[in-house]
Amino acid sequence: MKSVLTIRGLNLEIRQNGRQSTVLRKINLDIRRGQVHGLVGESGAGKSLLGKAVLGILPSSSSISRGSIHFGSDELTGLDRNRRRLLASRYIAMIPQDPMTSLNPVRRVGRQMCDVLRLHKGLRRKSAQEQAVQLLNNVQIRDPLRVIRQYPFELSGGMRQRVLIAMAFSCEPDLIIADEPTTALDVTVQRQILRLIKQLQTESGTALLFITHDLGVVAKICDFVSVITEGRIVEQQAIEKLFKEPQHSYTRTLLATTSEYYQYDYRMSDAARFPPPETA
Amino acid sequence: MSDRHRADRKFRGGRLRVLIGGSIVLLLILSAAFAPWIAPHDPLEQDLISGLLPPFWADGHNSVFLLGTDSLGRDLLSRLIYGARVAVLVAIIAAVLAALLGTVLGLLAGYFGGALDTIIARMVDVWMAFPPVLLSIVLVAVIGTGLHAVIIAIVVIDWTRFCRVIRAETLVQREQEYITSAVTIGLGRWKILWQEILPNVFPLLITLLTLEMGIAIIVEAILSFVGLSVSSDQATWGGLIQEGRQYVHQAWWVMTLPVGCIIVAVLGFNALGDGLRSQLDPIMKR
Repeated sequence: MKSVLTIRGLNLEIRQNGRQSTVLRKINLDIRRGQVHGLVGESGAGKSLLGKAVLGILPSSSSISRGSIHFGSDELTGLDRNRRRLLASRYIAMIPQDPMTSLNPVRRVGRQMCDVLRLHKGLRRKSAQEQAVQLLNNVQIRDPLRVIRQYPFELSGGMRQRVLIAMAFSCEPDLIIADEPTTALDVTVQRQILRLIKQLQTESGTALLFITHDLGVVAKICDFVSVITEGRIVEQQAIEKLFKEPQHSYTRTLLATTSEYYQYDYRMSDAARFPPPETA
Repeated sequence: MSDRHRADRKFRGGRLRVLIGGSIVLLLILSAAFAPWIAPHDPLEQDLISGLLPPFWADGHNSVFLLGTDSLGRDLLSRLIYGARVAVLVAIIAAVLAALLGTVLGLLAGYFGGALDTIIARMVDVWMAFPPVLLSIVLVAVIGTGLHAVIIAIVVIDWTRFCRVIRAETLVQREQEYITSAVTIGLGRWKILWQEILPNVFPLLITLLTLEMGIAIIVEAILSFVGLSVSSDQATWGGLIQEGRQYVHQAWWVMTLPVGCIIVAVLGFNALGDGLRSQLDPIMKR
């Protein structure tokens, strides 16, 4: 199958207090059409930076020093700013980490959804509104007619993330980059959101780069996994293979800590199954 | 819970301030707008026999002149009402123009940064190094007296207040996640500035605007006190103070009443601005 995104030999450098440091080294990554590609690593490994590099929203202190990012038939690193943004904004969408701060607090939800539709689909305000309602329906928001007229602070975190997911899928992008989309949510909502993302991804066939630190999440949603640590990708495997026969020692460590955590989690769920008697 | 309680009380206190400040400001605006119908006398009509009459609660008053008269026997109440006209006109026009200039420059400096920001920020620094009252007097002396001169002087001096605050707030807003979202969606830079950032600095702007109106009233009073405002036959609060100063030992009210008007007016604008700040804030930041 055809690759949507091909990254070859990518090096990323950050300038800080006059010192250069390389934070991503020789990154190679392929994402195929319809694939959910997990990017796993601990904090500071550079996984978010890689996502930002693809989206073209790197902080001004950092720059791509080597390598290429091929998106479809275009080479993103070679494009000038405006053309790059035009391309990326139309065909690459983002599901952000923190739904609480990723919507403009003083604009109605519907208006913000309409921005995308009007910009990329050339819809008029009225048909954009109708489409927005439809999109909210797709992400299982009840009473979408009311929600589009509400402000973000009137919605819960899970609902805001649903709105942002709806926006990400709204213009049928070729690639969606989800940067820890469930980290800021509580556990019960996390599960619903994951299921929703997976369902919409399957229906639309969009490729998805899923950035997370949580192997448990990876197991639920991804087809293929890249493990990144200290700016290098140390292992790339299909999901079953990664869990069965991890190659790199770092992956094994990661898996070991995760299973420890899940055992602990299991004991916790015992407590949840037998709650203490309620006091009136 | 106590935190929430305190926030609640602050919110309600804000409402009270909006109410009080708002009614003072409304009263001021109404009396300015309808001065010819409200004022019991022509503010320029002299009655030399009844000069320096005291207000209605003091001995020897004449009930025709509710708040007494000045040295030329002109009705003080009418002069105060007409004085409010100049004060309100200057306050509104000057504050709005200063806000416009300062906000535009502040938004540009904060959002685009770089050389533009350096130029604007340094300009503000230099501007604020001048003593404002002196600068305004010099400005009016150069431009010439009159209402427009007073307004220009206030705008030229006070745009920096808006510029500084709006620039700082723009810097804060620029780094917010929702701006990153807007960029990835593909909104242009001007569109982001206009439709994403501006609405977020708006509550602050409203607060600054009302505070600035209070300041403009004081500046206008200073300028008319030193005789650099509108022509001297027109009643202004500053002008009334200047006239009253000469008779303060025989007729304290001629000077005290306009001073009282200025204090109440400025308090009103400040209360309104302060109340609006606490009213607009929790809704926006929740």
